[in-house]
Amino acid sequence: MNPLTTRREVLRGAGVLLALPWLESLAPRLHAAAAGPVADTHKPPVRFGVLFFPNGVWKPNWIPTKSGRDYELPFSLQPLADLKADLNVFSNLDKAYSRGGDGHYAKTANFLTGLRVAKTTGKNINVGNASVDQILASKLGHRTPLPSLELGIDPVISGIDSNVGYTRLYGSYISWRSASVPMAREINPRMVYERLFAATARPDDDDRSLLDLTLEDAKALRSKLSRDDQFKLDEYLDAMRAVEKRILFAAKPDPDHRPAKDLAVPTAPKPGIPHDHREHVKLMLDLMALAFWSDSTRVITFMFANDVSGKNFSFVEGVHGGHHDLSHHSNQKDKIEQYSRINRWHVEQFAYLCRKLKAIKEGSGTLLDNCLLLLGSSMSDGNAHDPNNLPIVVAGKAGGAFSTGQHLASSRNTPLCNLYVSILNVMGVPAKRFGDSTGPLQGLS
Amino acid sequence: MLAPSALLLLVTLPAQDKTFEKDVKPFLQQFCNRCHGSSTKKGGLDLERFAQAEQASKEKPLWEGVAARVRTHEMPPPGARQPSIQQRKAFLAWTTALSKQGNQQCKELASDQTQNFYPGHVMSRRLTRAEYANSLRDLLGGVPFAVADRLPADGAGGGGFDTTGDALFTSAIHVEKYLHIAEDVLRAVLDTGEKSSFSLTPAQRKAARDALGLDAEPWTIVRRFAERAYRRPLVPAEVDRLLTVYHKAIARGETREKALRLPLKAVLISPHFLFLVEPEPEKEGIYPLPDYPLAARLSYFLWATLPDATLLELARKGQLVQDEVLRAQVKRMLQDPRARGFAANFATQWLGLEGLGTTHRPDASKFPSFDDALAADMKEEAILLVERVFREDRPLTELLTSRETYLNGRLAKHYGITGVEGDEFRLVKLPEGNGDRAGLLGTAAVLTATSLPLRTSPVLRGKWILEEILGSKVPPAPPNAGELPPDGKDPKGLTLRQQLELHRTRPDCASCHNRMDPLGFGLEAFDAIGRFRSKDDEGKPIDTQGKLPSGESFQGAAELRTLLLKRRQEFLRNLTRKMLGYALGRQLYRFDECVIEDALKGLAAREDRSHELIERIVLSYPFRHRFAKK
Repeated sequence: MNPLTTRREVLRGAGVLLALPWLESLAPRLHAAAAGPVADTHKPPVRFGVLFFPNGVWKPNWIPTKSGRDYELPFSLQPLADLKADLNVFSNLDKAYSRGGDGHYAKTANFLTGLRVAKTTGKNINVGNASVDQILASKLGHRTPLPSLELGIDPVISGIDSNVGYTRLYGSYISWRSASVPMAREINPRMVYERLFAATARPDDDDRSLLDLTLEDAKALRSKLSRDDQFKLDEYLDAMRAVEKRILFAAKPDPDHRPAKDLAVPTAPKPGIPHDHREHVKLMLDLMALAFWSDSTRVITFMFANDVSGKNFSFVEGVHGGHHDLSHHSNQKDKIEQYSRINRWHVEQFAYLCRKLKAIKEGSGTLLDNCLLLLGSSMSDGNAHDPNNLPIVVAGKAGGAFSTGQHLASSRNTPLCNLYVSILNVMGVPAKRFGDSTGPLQGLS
Repeated sequence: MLAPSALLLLVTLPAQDKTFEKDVKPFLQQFCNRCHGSSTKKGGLDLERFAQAEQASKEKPLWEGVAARVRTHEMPPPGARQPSIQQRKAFLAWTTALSKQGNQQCKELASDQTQNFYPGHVMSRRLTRAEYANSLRDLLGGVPFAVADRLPADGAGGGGFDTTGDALFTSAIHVEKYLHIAEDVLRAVLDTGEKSSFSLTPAQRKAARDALGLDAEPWTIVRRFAERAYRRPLVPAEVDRLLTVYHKAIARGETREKALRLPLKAVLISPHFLFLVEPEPEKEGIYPLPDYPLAARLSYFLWATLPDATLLELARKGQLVQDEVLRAQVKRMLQDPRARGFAANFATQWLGLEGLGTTHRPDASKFPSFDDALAADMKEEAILLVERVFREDRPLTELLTSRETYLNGRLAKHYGITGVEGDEFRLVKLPEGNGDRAGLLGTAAVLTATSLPLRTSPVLRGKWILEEILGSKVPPAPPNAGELPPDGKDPKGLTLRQQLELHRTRPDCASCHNRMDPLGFGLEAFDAIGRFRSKDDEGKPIDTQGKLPSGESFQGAAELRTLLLKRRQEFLRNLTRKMLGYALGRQLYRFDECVIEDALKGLAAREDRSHELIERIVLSYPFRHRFAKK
């Protein structure tokens, strides 16, 4: 790469250049960064990904009847047949705090926090704690150009639901930087791509000095504001610092940063947001794989859709209608069939990502082996807004720390947060408690 | 400082107390508390807790909601024990008296005399992405840089709008984008020799460069730019600081414009630009908003962008705080093209049109004519209708009744109207027949947004009318509620109407669906993308009859509108409430009812004209004051 090329040119170039120039110009940088003395002696890092889908599942087609290793995949999980040895299916996990509240918002916003979702149309938004992915990002994020990546398909839902008394934005976020601040998501594949590869480009000294200048201004301004306003400005200050860190990282990557040597960077996605839901989702999944592979981040959350999504799933064979509408199936056979097919479609996408990661060799195994990829929804039966026995599948072995290939049926009403405690621990963030946990989840190692 | 509750106590009239004991309490006990008691709380409503008049009279909006339901015979629901005409009348007389009594409270609340604090705190907040894009446009000579979509969408809070500081968050993504957009935009305008993703026409580029006044000294260029961006004068030291990055760049041999890019970029990522900050004095309390922050509140309310030179000049002279000046500015601003910013933001959020074409997209094989262009046209029509009512000071009820609308060729064809060609929108008188299309309820935007992907939903449309037009609440369906087939095809061959009627025979469902469904049926002559139709998907003739719990029945969109006009007060109150929530950017409290009452009085005296509403809000105490909270 021309040493004078700035981060901005890389951004801009992404649209024009084809895959090959990208590889030529980018790959040497990645090699150079990876060639440090520490890089090759370490075990590959463990990555954590969450794929959330809304509106629940039809349990009989999701929860295997038998527990243990000798179980059969029900209809909705069948796309995972070839990956059965690489994953665990969980049952009887739930969040006690989601038994109250409304049908959707009080279940989704705390999917990764496990605590109470404050009932509010805006004032004092609160989900109890930072989400598990953000805890990981705050501890591990310095090792990668991006501490975490938050992805989605839908823009944030606007408005409030005055009938149930919640702001709808609760249905749009599973990742929370703190109890009261959600992480903005990127929904445009092209912009995700640019974000990923801007991170590896040359640091921009001008931007750094502008950020310094602005940070000082912001601090001076902060002191003149009221307490609530200061919190708002703190978000901005934190965001500024995060960007500054990223620029610094580009100049001097963390020794533990582990970009792949054989990374194949695909062509940049077309600008704009695809209308075809399938295409949109596939692009996002490809980018997730790329982000993990390039060690751009080790923590990703992805929302297939916002909660209460009415997305039209008529593109799936045998389905005629919108997602939320069909999730209220009234126990009618025909609608349950369609609902299960929508569930199954989400599982297919998850399987696609798993296979993609499995095809990438890393260390002595595959990239998938070094992942923990969680697929789940914030309710079980959508028709009843059932908060119990949540549908949860986790693929990957966390670098060997987790044993896979089983249906892990916990005792009834085991906190989902127990799983999160186990995940924090295998990711190198020791924790005894998280959310409403009672300890680590039994049966994983 | 007196606590608000103590004040309320003072104004509870003895006569009202007696009426409460005689007419209201027994009414509640006999007809309401079985479902809305302290242990049942259906729909979250507990009326049993009101043991005394004093307690009850504190919750005016609640009683207004209850009264609306009782007046329309929606409550008690059919099948439940009904009050006599006399009992109903007596109950409603109490609620009406309470409504009027409220005005006395207002005299005691939140004024310079009383200095009563209430939780009406408005937060310093980040610009929404629409406001950010508009502000950028107005800083750079009106060139419409399409940057809003590069930023993450904003959620909403408070009254349901994205102007609510509580619900606006800032993530690292935002800062990355602000940096990137600033760079990209400035490259398009300045001679930096670097490529930009925007390609401006020579005229646009000139306009942007003229707006920067590039002939001046760098110090002056930066000062002027920053003053407009920060919406206030700068002290010289602030300008000097910004100039440091310019001098550094010059010192290392950059060209003038390349170096100038840096301080301008610093302005565009500054919190003084990105946040509507209202610095506060040391002491907690209420204080009038100074001129400059008031200019910004005003311009972001009515234009969704920066104040212009006129507003800043009035602020400089200290005149903007005067009532007469404010009134004149409201008039001027609503007639300015920038008022579109207000119409677009308010209308799309109020009407729920943001997702139209994206998260809400009709099925492509069933509705092949629905594409991005049509979706954009649909939204445009709704925005233009709202804009016109506010620009031309028309009666707000025209939002429901206007037989004139804005169409272009594509949308006219969609409506089956001939004689409108081309992409340009123009005012068109809607022809007779054609389903009696009129007002917002006749726009394809609303009709589509309230449909399912494959069919119309009288339930959703009815719910929409109740919630967004009349401001009534509709509790969510209980779990395990029955739903209809998504494509409307019933295995037993019943029509959609028959299926819904069957559904309403379940008493659980009836109390809400009796209110929603009939309203929705009035719009059945419009399909799921808002086209006129006389037959449904099965080829059966459309039946647009609706019968409401009050016994009133109607047929079709025109009679539905007549019916809604009878509930004009509910509509106006709802619209006023929404507007105030949008303007203040926060949740409303019961004390804000005083502003709403005042606005409604003003509307009644001026044929419901739109400028009256905006004026009353702008001149209101909460809009012009800041409640400093420590």
